Amino acid sequence: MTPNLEHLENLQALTKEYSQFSRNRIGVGYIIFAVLSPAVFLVAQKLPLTFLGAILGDLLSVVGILLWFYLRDKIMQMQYQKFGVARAFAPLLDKEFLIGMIFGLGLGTFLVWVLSTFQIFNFPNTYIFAIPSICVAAVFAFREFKQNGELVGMATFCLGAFVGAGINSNATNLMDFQRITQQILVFVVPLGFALSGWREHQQFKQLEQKFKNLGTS
Amino acid sequence: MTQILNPEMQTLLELDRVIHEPARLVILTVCASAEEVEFKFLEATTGLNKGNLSSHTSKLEQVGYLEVLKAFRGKVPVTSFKITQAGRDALAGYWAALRGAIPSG
Repeated sequence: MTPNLEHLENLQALTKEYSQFSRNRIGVGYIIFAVLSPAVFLVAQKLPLTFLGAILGDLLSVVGILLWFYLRDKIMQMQYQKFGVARAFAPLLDKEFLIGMIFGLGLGTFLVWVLSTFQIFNFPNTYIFAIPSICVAAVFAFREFKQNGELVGMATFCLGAFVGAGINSNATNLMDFQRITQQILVFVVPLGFALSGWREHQQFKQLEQKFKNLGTS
Repeated sequence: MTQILNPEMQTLLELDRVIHEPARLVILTVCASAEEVEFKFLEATTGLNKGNLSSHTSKLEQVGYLEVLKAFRGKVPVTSFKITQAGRDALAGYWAALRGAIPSG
């Protein structure tokens, strides 16, 4: 083995790029999200506007998110860690973002608690589920999120499941407007994610080729 | 016979021998580019066989340049490596010394 400076620089660049796929680039994981999220929304729309329907909506969003994380990790292991795991350095921005997110969610939880306890705002009965949900979501997000954009993903899931259950055939004009807004969010945001995932996947394919060339150079 | 070496030659002779070995230089360079790398990844990037890679990483661990992390993924044992601050400093020092040894002009 006789490394020259150029070879070492190539290895450095290759390692840095590859290691991103073990930390915050999820490629096909985005495409899975783009399929799962609208599916959750469409199923949630069929739920009845009852207490039980609200609980099922909650459960649906939790199952959707868990399934997404499971499939995302499986894809990462099978597709993007073919040459072993190399974990990238956590950028400082990510840490700050996570701390800010936890703080924000905590503050949101507190506000919901104050508003409902002092009856400043009359939440529907089922809204009480929001408090433990937000607490669990904060811890879950802190442990599981690999990329800032995944927060948007999870929010879209929740939007699909929580709000989707509120749409039925008795919709007023205002609800029609809400429906269009929701559908834009629930179907267009995942499309953006899918495109982003596809682009990352193509980048990995190029990276894979560079790895194969390492053996022949 | 007494011979006075010029400063550049002196610098070259004082290079860190542990890092100066090409395989170990590559291993340390790769490890310095990520937070943590698996044995399998080092195999792929260095092109070394398991035995050689193991012996070089052991040497780097002995001098305190690498930290070896052992874990299980399911039932499969996984060995990972993490460069230490001493390793990072040694690598930076090595390159600085090498650049210093190149005659100017």
